[in-house]
Amino acid sequence: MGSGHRVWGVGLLVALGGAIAEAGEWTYAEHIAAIVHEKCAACHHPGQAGPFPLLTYEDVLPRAPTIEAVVQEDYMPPWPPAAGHLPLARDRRLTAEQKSRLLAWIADGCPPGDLTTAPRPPVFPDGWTLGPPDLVVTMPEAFTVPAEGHDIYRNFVLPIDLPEDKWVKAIELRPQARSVVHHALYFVVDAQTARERDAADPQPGFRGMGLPIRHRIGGYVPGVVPQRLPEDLAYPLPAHTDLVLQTHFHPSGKEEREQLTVGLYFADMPPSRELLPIQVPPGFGRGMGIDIPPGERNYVVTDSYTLPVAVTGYLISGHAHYVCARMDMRAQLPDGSEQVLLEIPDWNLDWQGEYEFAQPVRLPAGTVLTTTLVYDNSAENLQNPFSPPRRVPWGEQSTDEMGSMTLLATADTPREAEVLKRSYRLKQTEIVKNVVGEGKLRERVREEVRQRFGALDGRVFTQLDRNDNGFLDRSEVPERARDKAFQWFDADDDGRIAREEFDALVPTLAGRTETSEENTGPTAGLPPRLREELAERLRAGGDGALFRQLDQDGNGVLTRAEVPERFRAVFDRIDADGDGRMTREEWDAARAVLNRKR
Amino acid sequence: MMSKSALSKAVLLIVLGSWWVANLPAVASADPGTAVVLNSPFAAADWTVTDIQGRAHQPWADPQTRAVVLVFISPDCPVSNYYQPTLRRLVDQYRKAGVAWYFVHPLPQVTAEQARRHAWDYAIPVPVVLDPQQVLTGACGAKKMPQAAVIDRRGAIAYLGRIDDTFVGFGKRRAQPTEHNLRDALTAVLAGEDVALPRTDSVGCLIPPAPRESAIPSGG
Repeated sequence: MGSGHRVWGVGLLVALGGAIAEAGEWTYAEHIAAIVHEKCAACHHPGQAGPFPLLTYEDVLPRAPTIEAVVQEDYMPPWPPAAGHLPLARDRRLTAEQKSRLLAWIADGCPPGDLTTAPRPPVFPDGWTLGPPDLVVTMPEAFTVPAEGHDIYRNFVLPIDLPEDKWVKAIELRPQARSVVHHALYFVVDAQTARERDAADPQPGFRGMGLPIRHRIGGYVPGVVPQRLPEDLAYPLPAHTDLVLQTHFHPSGKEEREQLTVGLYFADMPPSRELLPIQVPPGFGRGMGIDIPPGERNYVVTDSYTLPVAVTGYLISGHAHYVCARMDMRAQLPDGSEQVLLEIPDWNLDWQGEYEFAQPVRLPAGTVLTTTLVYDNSAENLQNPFSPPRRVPWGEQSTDEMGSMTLLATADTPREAEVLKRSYRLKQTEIVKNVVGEGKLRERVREEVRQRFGALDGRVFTQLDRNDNGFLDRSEVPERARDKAFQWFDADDDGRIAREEFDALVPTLAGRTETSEENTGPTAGLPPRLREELAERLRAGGDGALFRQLDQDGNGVLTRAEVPERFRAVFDRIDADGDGRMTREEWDAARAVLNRKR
Repeated sequence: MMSKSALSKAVLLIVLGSWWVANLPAVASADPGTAVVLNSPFAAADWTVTDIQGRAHQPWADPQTRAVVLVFISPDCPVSNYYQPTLRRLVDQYRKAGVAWYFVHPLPQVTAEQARRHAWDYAIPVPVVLDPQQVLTGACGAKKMPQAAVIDRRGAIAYLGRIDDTFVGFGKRRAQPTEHNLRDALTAVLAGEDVALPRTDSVGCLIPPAPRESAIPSGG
């Protein structure tokens, strides 16, 4: 009972006040400052998301009771990923030892110790977390966010237009009114296109994207601390492009004027590999049929994607709105083992993050990535935007729902990266297939496509693709059909219709159901027209005449360079072992599959 | 003979008990028209509150004043700031009905200049008061920011607690509140009725105990 005496004794001393408790073991100078600097200061410094600074003893002391409460509840430091899975870099959680020291120090009355010996707070030059950026760009005009009303989505051009290509290691966003900026996604767009679009709207920025995007390079969401991409990875920022910031504002009850500033950090050299986003389900779950009945407590959405090549995963994140309760992404490896890549057990829209694996994750070809999202549309879900609950469909407003998780990964070679991109683009076409493939809508779309495009086959694409690059740009699509065409076919929303996107949708629109063979074997997922043509040629050259014809150096092995450009996609698929060479055996195996179909 | 631990417990109970009794409103008479609460610092007819502009307010000097609301706030607590628009609407609604409002800063390190800037930023429509010695804070027993105390003409604290139940925990927020506790308390007090829930728990930043004068850090 000795410890019981001590507890009562301490309680008595505190209750009586004035009496000095036995000198504690922990002091700010010697023990606590280091914890605060390591785990709190990255967000809690002026200009960052933390509502007040936590850099010095004077910052910490008056907030000690609040710190005690939020640390006890594990609300701070915020770290939504579940423990026990893959270790994540810059894990902000306090270690058990840090937590008990901090709480004991507060219970002890926050003794300062000798503050002259305390470690100096980390320095953030002009508030930049990563130090002075290589380039700082600010919106030319401020945008006024009204005091109250609906959420606002708006795109702002940050003029960059550099004369040469650059590679971006990190971007730090500095809003003026952080309380109203919910999140911002960064897109690279040709400078001229972006500025013309901006000029067409008299207010700063413009609504709705609908312009050709080169690519996305990350984004800002609350709780994310800017970080440099690992290894030599970097996002391309080509010459004569601008950043377009797709920004989501929550009115805060106080009118704000927002003039966003970004700081860019460049790499010295181009990266050796391209960082590719693998979002499951694609399109934030568009086309997954998300439509959550009121009162439903356990509405589950799952989607899977099989990696066609081996990848190395670096970063992972999730996105959903208020009705989502939890999410995870699992990797089922070809050897049957399973690895949880990220689990968010208590999803909160306010604390979305992008997490970096402490060690890059190797995932072999054939790994199945599965995302599971669970939604709670009952009144028990305190974050439910509706009371009483209402039906919540998929949509872009924050009172609608969506959901997906994204793994950022690299392939081992540029060619495997192409295979991955093509395969993922096919995955994305499922969105449109699902959206268009439903009942009455499909009938209507099919009829409209007939009227607008005439015959529904690959010839339409070939005719339209005047520069023969395998993509339809907006200018290549007749104006009367343009908007609809991009709405239906541009599954990845990059402002161009890829051949794969077009071909993948044709059977659906033509009312044909795909045969199961098309989803298996070495030619799985190939565009139908290429499959047809390949089958024709393989039949014609069944005795190996075609193989010999292509095999210019006659060594019995086809290299990629020996294959005509338009067949290289096929080559990559048939080249089962991915060594960039196709043997006669691989050729015959593919031919056997295609012939079996006939 | 009492064991050492039992003695400690007894002393602690006495200390806590007398604190509890001191904080219970003791009403001298059942007639709310004339009675005052004994020992209430809010009961005196010339009770004076001085704001950051240096203006002295005597809420009870105006016979139209039927209740005073003290709202304990912080310049940088996000929960406290979240409520400013709600508070503005409540002030608008109840000022005409004879409710005098003061927003009080219990944090000793808040300067008049900081409080002025905060009041400007959040368009606070009522006098703002610094309470570095936590006199008002202590008299109301306020523990968190934000918390509202409704004081009736007798000087009794008719209500102390949250503004509404939007927050259910740190970072856990309902889309819409289901209980409007401060509004309901004011409605009851103005109707001369008992407040159904006179004390509610609130979510927010904790008010640290008032430090000794010499220990007040500067700035912050």
